[in-house]
Parts: sequence; C-alpha cells; structure tokens
Amino acid sequence: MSARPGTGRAARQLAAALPFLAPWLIGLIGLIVVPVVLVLYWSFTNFNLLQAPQWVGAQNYQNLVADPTFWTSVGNTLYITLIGVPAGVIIGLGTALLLNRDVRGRDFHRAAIFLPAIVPPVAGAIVWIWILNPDYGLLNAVLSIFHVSPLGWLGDPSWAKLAELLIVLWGSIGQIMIVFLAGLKEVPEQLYEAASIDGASGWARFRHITLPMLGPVLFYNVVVGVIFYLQFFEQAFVITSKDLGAPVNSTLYYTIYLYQNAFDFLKMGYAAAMAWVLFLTTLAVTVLFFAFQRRLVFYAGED
Amino acid sequence: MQRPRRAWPFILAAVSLVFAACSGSATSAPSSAASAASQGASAAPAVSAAPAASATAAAPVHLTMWQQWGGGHEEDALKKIISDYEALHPNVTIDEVPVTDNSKILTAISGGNPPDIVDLVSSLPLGEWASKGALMPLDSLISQSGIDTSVYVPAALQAMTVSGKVYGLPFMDFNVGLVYNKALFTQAGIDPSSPPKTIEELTADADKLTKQDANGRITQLGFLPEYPGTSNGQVCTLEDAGWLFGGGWYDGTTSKVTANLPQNVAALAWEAGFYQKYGAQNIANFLQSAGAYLTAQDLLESGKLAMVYDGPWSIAFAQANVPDLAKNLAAAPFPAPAAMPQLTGTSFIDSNPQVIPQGAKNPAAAFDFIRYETTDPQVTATFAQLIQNLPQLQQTPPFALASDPNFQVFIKEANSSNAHVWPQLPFSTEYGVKLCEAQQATLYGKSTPQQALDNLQTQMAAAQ
Repeated sequence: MSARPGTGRAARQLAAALPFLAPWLIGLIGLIVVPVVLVLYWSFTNFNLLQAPQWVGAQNYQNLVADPTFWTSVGNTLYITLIGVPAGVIIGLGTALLLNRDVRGRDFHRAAIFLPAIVPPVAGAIVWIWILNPDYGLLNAVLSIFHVSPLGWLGDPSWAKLAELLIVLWGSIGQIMIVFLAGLKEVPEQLYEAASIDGASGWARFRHITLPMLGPVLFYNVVVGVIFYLQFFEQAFVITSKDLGAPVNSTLYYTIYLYQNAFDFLKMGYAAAMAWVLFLTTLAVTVLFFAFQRRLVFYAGED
Repeated sequence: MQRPRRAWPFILAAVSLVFAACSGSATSAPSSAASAASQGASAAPAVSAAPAASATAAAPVHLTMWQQWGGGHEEDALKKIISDYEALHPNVTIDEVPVTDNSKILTAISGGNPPDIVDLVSSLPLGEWASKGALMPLDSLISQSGIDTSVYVPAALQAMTVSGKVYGLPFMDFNVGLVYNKALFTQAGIDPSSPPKTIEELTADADKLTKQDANGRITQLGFLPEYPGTSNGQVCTLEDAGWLFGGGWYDGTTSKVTANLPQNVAALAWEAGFYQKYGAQNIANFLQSAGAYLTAQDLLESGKLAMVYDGPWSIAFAQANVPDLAKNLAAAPFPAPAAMPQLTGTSFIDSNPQVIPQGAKNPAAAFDFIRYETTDPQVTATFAQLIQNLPQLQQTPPFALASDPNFQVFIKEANSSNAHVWPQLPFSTEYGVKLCEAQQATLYGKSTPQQALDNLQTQMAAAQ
C-alpha cells in the first residue's frame, strides 16, 4: 500500500491502536470536548436551558465585569486559594516530616490524620456545622478553656471563610501528608549522611536536601491545591444550601455564584461565560506554574 | 496486519458494551423527540376532548407526579389523596416521587422528558419557569373543566398567575403573623393577653424581652427581624416588612420594580435598628447557635426567642416537639406602624403550585387529578388539618383546626387585602435573592438601608 515502509507501519499501528482507544476517545469527545465547546457557544448567547439560545455577542462577558456580585465571588475565591494552598502545604509537609521519624505510635498517628480524607465531604461538613456552633459547639468550648471568647464561625461574615477553610483542611491534610511521606521516602539516605559528616545542622539539611528533593512533590501539591480551591464548591454548597453565600455573601465562591446563575436565575449563558473565565484562568495559572517549574523545581536524574 | 484484524471483533464488542451501558441514561434523547411530537399531537385533542374524564375512561393512563413534600406524614397524606382518586378513576394510576431539587425538575423539562405533574413547594420559581416556556398555561384546561376559580382564596390564585395566565392550581396556602411566647411575656412583666398593637409597641416589648450578658452575648431575644428567613417559604423577611410599612416591591400598573420606595427603606431601617441596638455580631452568633428550623433546638421552640413573624406550622411543630412550651404560644395579626393601623395583619401569602410541565405526555389526565386535589373540599380540609397549613379554598367542611383561635388569625389574614404575593416576573428568584442580599448587607452594617435598596433598584431595573 504505502510507498515508504516507515509511514505504512505507523499507519498500521495507529489503526491497531484506535479501536483500543475508542472507548476512552468516545468518552472524552462526548463528555468533555463537546460540552466544553457547547458551553463556549452558550457563553455568547442568552440561554435559559428551556428556549433556543439567542446570540448576544460578548454581552455576558461585559456584564460580568460590571457585576459587583461577580467580583465578590472572585474575591472570596482568591481569599481561600491564597490562604488554603500555603496552609495545606505547610501543615501537610509539617505532619509528614514529624511522622517520617521514628516516633512512638507512628502508624496510628498516620492513620488518624489520614482518616478524615475518607469521610465524604458532605457528611464531614454537616458534622462540622455542629462543632462550629457558636453556643453549643465543641470548638468554642475548647477555646473557652484558654479564655478565648466565643466566635461566630460560620455565622460571622469575617470568620465564615476561615471556618470553611478549616473544614476543608481537616479533610485534605491527610491526602497531602501521604504524598509528602511518599516523597520523603524517595530522598536518598546517603545525602543526609554526607551532610552530617560535613556538619550540616538539621535546618540546613532540611533546606538544602529535603526541600529540593521534594520539589516535584511540592509542585504537585501546589498545582492540585490551586485548581481545587479555584473550583471549590462542595462543602460551601452543603453549609449554605438554604441561603447560598451566607452570611452577607461572605462564602459566595465563584462556582457557587455560577451555580446560582445557572439553576436559580436560569441565566445559563451568563453561567457559561463564568465557566469559561474560570477554565481559562485555571489553564493560565497552570501553564504559568509549569513555566516557572523549570527554574524552581529540581528533578533528580536531570543534568 | 494480522493482529489488528483479529482484534476488531473484540473491540466492537467492547464498544457496543459501552454503548449499551450508556443507553440507560441516554434514553431521554429519542423520547424527547417522541414527547415533542406527542406534545403537539396531544395538545390538539386536549382542546377538543372537553370532558377529560370520559376521554380517559377507557384507555389505561399512567401519570408520574414529582412532589416536594418529601417523606413522612405529608407524603402519606398525598398517597391517600392519590389512592382515593385512583378508586374513582380505575383506569388511572399515579406514581408520586419526592423530588426536592428544582434543578432536577428543570433539566427533566428541558430534556423533553418531564413528569406529568409537579407539586412545587413554593411559587417562587413560577415566574422564571413560566416565562421561559417550561410550564403549560392552564387557562384553557380550567375553562374546559368548568372550575369556578373563585372557590380559591384570591391571593393564592394570584400567586399562580404570571403575566395574566394561570400556570398552577394552588394547594395548601401559607402566610405569617405574630407568634409569641406568653410565658416569656409574663417573665418580662408584659401582659401576655395583650400582644403589641403597633410596631412601636412591638419594638419596645422586644427590648424588654431581650437578655444580654456583660459581654453582649444574647441569651434571649425579643424579636429577630431576619428569622426564620427563607426557611418558611417566603422570599425573605424584608418582603413582609416592606408591605407592613405600606411599601411594595413591584408596581403592576407601570410594570416597574419598586425596590427603593421610601416605605421599603423605612422597613429596612426598622429591622436594622435591632442590630444597632444589640450588636450585629451578637445577633449573628445567637442566630448561628440555633438548631435546624422547626426542631426543638430552633429559636422559638428552645424558648430563646419571644416573638416571631411566622406561620401556624411553627405552633404545630412546637406542639409536637416541645408540648410544654407550645401551651404558651399564641398568634396575633402582626402589628403595623401606629400611623397605618389598617395594615395590621400584613403578610406574604403563597401556596404549593400544582403544575403541568411543558412536554407532559397527558396534560388532560394530569389536569383532572390536580383539579380533584385542589378543589375537593374534603381533601382540602383533611390535608389542612394534617399539615396545619391554610386551605386554598374559601369554603371547606369544618375541621378541628378551623375553630382554633390561633389558626383563625392566619385564615383571616389570608383573605384580607393585606395578603400580598411576591411579584411573578421572569426574574422573580433573582429579585428575591438580591433582596435578601440587600437586607443582609444592611443588617450587618455593610450598607445603609437607602444605599442597599437603591443598589437593588438599579440592578433589577437592568434585569427588566
């Protein structure tokens, strides 16, 4: 068939591979590519799910810029991202370092810290609503031992985001810790030995061996964390299901406002525009991270 | 070339398996086309087949009803209505399914495969849904069936009406009044037999009924303007307060949003006064500490709130949960400003719309059931007694609650000119949500009443 033997072989291999890939390809096209393209189209229309969409050009995007509630939701989302990602990484790395040593009951502690990760987020959030209750809650009771006056937590506009962050961190630290622990196991023991012989302090060993060797793991946790918080929805939706964003829109995150526009206000076109802005933002942030990664992250085995 | 060729049959088998697995959820595609066709076809016969019952008498009819009562005794009562109807119409079977999530209903309608009947918990989505063609206008079915719509409480029917067309039949009305705890009145030295007559009296009584410790922590509150919020089916409490002060939210004659009427601003300022006096954060903590609404831990039932702007069910649930406290609960018309005594007893009113989605396969049969459900006086009386909501009919056979003086307060309010309906507009839900945002922003000191409502007015005028 083919003139050049090389291309003929590649084509044959592709022909052989495609059927094997078909189930996955069909899923990708049907469940991701087509919806994403449709959402892009709808974002330029006035669409309410029930009637045919009407083309409105960039109107939805212009309205977004002028919508104060949109900017509130952006602010709330940035807030939890900028606090949540560093907090998750620092606490996760800290617990991993502690539990990487030969402490007593190490396996028990690891299991205990990982346990919340297997609690369904909805169930966890409902239990936390009670723990954070200003009057009867466990947390305020504990704080009162230290003479901290009771906090409003989820009812207080200035604390509600932090309270939700606490719930999310409780559920995600275990996962982050496990990844760091796996990374720590990969650090060659002889590096530490060599450093000790050279008289490096504990901090110096951490700073110049552990941290660089953990680079890829750290990078992974940061990227995954940023994407998670930019799209944060589940727990916030459960906690404020009766009154999305309460109190005073302090927990109205990007995706919550998107949901509200789509399904409560039937502004599907507007919600589609929000979805695309979020998609492009997430993409841009991720690309940016990968660009910086070349300079900042050290991969063992590279020259 | 040998290997790929041999692999094909296996791959095809695998792919067809995947399709087989998908088809379970993908059935809506072909059936949506079918139902779109049948919708066009069935709409015409429905017009000609005036006596719906005789048209459906022969062929077996199966209807699906999505209902938002949920489970428990309310679902049992609904099942009883259905089985009574099935006994009268042996060819009809009706399946009821609890579906509380509105977005699920919406996607079913837009997917072209809706249930025959939806029993909604509130008329709030009606404006949005009807104006976008999700619901079937019922006017022609009403006139064919010969229902005299004047049997309904007028305000309840008004809540079902969007731009002059009726999109649902009302079932079980609900409104709010002053519910107060007489024991707390006595403790505070207020005569429990004379609830406040004006809003000024109510505000003064509320101060006497409020207990704060040295740190400002509230242990008991006289009145909490934002409670119980949207939980009782209203848009938000400011909705009622606006009407109570002589304001309103929409001018039907000019078709204009009227969010920043001076009376509405005065109402919001009155609400905000409580937060300034007691400390917004103290109130927020007090509110957050309450358990779920209508449980023994909610503010009224735990005896921490003396007066509430709420419906007859709040007394009913207290009787079930905390009978000792419930003995001291009484209802009265909610007082109006001293200068406007005629507005005493102002309240929102709403009902549970029984609607037929656009694209339903058998609208005539579906309508005949909701006609029976909403116009049969005995069904209405039984259900009203059971769930302690108001009958949507003006006349019903006597039931025990109807002679209860507390319950009578609400029945009287429902039939008065002070019963108001949230405007049914293409943006009703959004207007409601943003109204609550404006209220919250003011109560928690982020905005002045005037600013918040001016802002709302601008936003909603743009939505129009």
